[in-house]
Amino acid sequence: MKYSKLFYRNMLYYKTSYLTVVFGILISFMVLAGSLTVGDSVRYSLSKIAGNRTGKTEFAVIKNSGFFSEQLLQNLSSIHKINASSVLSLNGFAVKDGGKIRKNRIAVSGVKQNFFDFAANNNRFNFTCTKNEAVINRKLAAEMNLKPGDSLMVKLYSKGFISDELSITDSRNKIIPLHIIIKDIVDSEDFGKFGLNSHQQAPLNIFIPYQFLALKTGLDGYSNLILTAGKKGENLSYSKLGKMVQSSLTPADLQLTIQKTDNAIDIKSKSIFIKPAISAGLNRALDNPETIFTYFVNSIESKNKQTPYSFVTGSSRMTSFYNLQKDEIAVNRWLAEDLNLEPGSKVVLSWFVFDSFRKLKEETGEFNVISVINNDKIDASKSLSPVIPGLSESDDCRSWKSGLPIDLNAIREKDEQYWEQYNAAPKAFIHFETAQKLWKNSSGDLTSIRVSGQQLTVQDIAKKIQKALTPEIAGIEIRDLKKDNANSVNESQDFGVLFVSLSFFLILSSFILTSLFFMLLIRKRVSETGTLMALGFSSRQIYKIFMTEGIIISLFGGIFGTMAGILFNYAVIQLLGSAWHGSVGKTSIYFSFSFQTLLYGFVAGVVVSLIMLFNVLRKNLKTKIKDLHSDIFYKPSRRKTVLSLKLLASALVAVLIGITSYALVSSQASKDVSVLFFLGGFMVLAVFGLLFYLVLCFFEKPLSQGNDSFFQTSLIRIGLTNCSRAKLSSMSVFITLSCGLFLVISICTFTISPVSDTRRRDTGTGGFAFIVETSVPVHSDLNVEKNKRKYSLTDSRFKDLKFVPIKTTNGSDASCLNLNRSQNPVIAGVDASSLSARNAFKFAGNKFGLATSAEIWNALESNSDSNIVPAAADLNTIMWGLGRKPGDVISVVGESGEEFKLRLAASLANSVLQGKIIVSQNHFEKMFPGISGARYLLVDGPDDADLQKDITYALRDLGADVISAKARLFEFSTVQNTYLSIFQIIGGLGLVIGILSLGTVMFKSIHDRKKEFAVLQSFGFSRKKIRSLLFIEFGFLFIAGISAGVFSAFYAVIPSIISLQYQLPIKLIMFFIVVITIFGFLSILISVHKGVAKKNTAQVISQ
Amino acid sequence: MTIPDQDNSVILELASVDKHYLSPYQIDGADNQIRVLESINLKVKTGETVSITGPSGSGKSTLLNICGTLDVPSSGEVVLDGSQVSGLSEKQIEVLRKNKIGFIFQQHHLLPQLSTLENVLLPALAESSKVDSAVIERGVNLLKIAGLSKRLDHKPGELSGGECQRTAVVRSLINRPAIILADEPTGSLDQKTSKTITELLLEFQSSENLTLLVVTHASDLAQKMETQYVLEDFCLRHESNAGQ
Repeated sequence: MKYSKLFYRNMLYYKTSYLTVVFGILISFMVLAGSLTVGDSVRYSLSKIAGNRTGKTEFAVIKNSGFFSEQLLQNLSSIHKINASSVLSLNGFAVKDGGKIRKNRIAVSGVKQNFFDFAANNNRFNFTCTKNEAVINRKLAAEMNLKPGDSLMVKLYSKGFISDELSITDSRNKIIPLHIIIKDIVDSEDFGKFGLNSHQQAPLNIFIPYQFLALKTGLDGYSNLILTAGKKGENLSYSKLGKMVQSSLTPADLQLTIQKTDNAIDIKSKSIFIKPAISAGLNRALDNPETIFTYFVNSIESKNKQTPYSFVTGSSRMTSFYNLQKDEIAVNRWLAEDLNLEPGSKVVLSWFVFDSFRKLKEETGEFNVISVINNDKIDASKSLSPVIPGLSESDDCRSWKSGLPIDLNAIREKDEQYWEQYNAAPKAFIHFETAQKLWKNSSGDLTSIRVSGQQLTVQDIAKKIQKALTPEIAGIEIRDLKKDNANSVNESQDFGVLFVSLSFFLILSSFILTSLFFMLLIRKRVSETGTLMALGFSSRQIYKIFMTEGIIISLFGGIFGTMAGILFNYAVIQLLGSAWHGSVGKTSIYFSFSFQTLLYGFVAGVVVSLIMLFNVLRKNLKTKIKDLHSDIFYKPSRRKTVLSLKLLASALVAVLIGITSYALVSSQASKDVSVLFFLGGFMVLAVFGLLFYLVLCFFEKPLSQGNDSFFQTSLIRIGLTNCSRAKLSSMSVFITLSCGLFLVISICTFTISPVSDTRRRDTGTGGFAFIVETSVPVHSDLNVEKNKRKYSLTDSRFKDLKFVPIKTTNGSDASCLNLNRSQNPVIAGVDASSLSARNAFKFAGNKFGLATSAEIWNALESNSDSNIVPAAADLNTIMWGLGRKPGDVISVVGESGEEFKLRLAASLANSVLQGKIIVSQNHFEKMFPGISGARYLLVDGPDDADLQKDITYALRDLGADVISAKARLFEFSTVQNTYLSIFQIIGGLGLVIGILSLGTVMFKSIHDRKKEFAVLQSFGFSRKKIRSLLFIEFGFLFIAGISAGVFSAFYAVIPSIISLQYQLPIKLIMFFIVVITIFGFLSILISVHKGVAKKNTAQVISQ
Repeated sequence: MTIPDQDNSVILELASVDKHYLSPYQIDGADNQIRVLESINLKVKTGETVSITGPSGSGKSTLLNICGTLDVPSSGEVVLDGSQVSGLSEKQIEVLRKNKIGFIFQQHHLLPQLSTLENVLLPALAESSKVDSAVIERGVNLLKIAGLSKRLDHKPGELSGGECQRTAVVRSLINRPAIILADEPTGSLDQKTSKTITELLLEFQSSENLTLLVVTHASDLAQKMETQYVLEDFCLRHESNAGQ
């Protein structure tokens, strides 16, 4: 005889009871382990998607603004011997069937054959497109119903070298149409989902032969992206690649041209202006060269005489040569004669300065003439002017094609002669620093650098420049894609933990049910326990017996439960792909799990179940031995306990009254009030729980002790007394029922419903009717009449429209629609005054200590903290998209490689601006001067579906998608609402467990009291009366649990009921309550009816 | 209260033992103390057979439970085999119970999942994790004496009431206790079976030289004991010695 035999016999004998415990454990483990492995599935899916997105690429070399030359690629591949492929990456939109089918915001990539070597698939996709053939990805094919052989019109936005912010060039030729033939459709593994931004949604991709695209866009020999990877067996590191890129850079990568003139070498930019970072680098490399800023001025005037449209130069050499002061000017003889100038004369220059969105502001400045330069010097000064496309190559002034408003009528014959003879030679010279101060803009603070008087060749200069170049100066970003992918996945929302949270009530209910089953089993064996103690077994030995059995069933149930967790994971994944699609941004989630996660779930479950089992044993083995043989578990509650509970209940009620009063009069954000009432709901539930317990204590008093009440000798009294004799079971049923119902109903209060009045500025739409997202940046201010004409927005339908343009970087979305953690979030720059004037949007909080939205928007313009830029973002973006909290400082790399610190100083409350970090336009332009135009616009106007279509049509040449702001907000809300509905459904399952608990208590009670019923029958009780007794007993438990849950829940949703914004789904809730009630009562009726069936009374009594 | 002198022939002694309970209910203004036993004095010698009778609800089982360390007196002293129970720790009491006392209950309280032999050997398992073959042999022999040699592998559900109670009697003997405490051992049996059990008890008492303390309201069983007490009005009264 061994202990093992005892365990075996015990477990075999009580197998039915143990199986019920195992059932409870199995459910708990299944949900726990299953929920955790949902995280595995999501992580696996995101990794797979990220892997398909970037394939074998290790690093991306990116020119965010501008282009680098193909020489860079050749140097990297041939000199440094790494795998590299250049891409000309542009944006555009596609049109089919004469415009009937349009798709905007398409990524058009000019690629070479070896591009597909970088795809994830080891069997390389055979890219055999020539000329205007293209391959597209499956998403585009599906959305536009395209197949191989189809033709497509693609309209591309070609940035060119010159910023479109500058009105200096004509922007009309920037949209380039391409007529392409679809040759093939490429799958995800073959780079169909190619993209640099971490997002699970595939972009719309078109791949065209590089040569064809480059020629069509005038960018032959240039690209803006290089994919790199080390050769087989070699490690390519970030620093190593950085050095390779640095040593491979040439002046062409900075759009610099080097030309030899008569006695000098001029370095100019294809972008007209040279950026400060580049000019500083050149200065260092070339050992104090001549710095030149030549500008196109509208007029030079003196004493009512005017010379129109001339070039004026600020030159460091001329400044010192003529000893120019800051308000002095040296003019050439031609100009002096034209305006009758002599030293001492005054001239007024007028010119345009460039503002955002191609706005021009005319400014003037007065200068004192100090010198007149002879005309023989003019020729030599021709090369001082930059090359301005549309101007420089023109044969005459009247052929000028410029974005500037040039009045050709003002050009005189002598001006034409000057142009013919001297072209763009400057007519005057001012102090270099004055020129910089007056004319520097977002594109640069110089127009050329000159090295003269040295025996240097162009190659010598190029080599000198090359040595000084760095990727930062060149505006080149090197991105570690493998690291970014890993971080975006690893730092993303842990769906495992999320689903454990969503399922916590189900897990808790299952463990409570398990405790109940185990407790019933222990109590069933109480006499046995007493016998063992009487036979000399110590308490410790008895604990050992029960705990060993408990461990065995925990492990047994745990193993099967954990395995069942795999099925739970699978079921959740199927639901995430269908009914719960909204919670994952409609991403395909692939089923996966790791044994490590299952092990964690298993171990956690074992620990919890053992604690629970130990707790049950501890409470139920405390009784004295002599009582164990009497099967006495019933202990009347002590008077002190009852008094304490009464006091506690009173205190809770007082606190509740306080909370309710405060919340109702509070002017806090509605979300805070909702949270207060939700917590209050829990307190109401606690009060109900205490009251229920006190009722049980009241009914446990024997008749002689009880009050002279209505129930004193009634059937109801006896039924309720039976409840109080099994307080633990009764409380378990009450808790699971009431908590389950409370959670399922009250969570509705956090559901976000569509905004009813979109004109209200204090809503998530900011009062805006539409959001416009364009493929081609909008460079003009659409609120200005002449620009409206350009896009046919002058019709009366559009008269009330007001546009707020927002500049954005090409980063990854940091909204709740992106499951990945954004590694380079979209930065948005907005004219803060346009939002403050409207007092638009509602802020959840701010670190400025300001009260109104208007003040907070204005505060974004502040420059109080050096190098820290104040920023705003949606609270969801801050907390979930970025994983930060309000007030945190994040680092952002600007266009020139400079690091900027952004302080998340203001958080928006659930807005359409989710996914972006918003700074003022001024700050944005300092960080990203090369980004011109806006691709995201907010539109004020009537919220009308027909108007939406009309705007879409009007802006079709911008490849614009016009979305209702209300719909966009609801799209974001769908994620949260879906999570809430998941919680409700899983919570509902917990409620089912609660009903199961009731069922268990009923079954056990009826089964164990068969003899009792038989004895009652022997006294003359009819079966009907006994059933009524049981119905009262169980019905009381059920009604108490349901009522407490419902009332507490309705307290919690008070803010939603009284809020105008939200409509509580009353019908759905009532339907739910009715179904639960009917189901519950039916279960009671059936159990009671079956339990008190006709049997031989005497036989039952004698058993 | 004085601590009784140790008498080597006395296996069990109760000195001025009181037992009362506090009721959770106030009964019409009366004191909520429920008296069960008052000033109980009892000496049981080694090898003696003692019976305690009394009307139903007189506290006989309570008295037996106190004797067997299953319950604690409100006041007074219990000395078992020279050990003062109140001065012992929980563990020491468990050891005392394991080694010195054998219990027989009115309801046999056999474990339904174990066979007859296994039920009998159960107390030995409290001593060590594996039962010795010598103990198994003893169990088999005792069951043979009890007339249950053919029922060794049967479960309690397959035995009659009398057979279950005989098994319970054998179980109480397996660890060679110093004293057997029997609470209404024939209480739920018919007359014939009761006689069988009584004879078996006496036979074992004789062969094992046991001390036997029986609580019963069956007069025929009580009269077969050497010393008889009556528990009435909370007090223990010596009734008679055998033959007197």
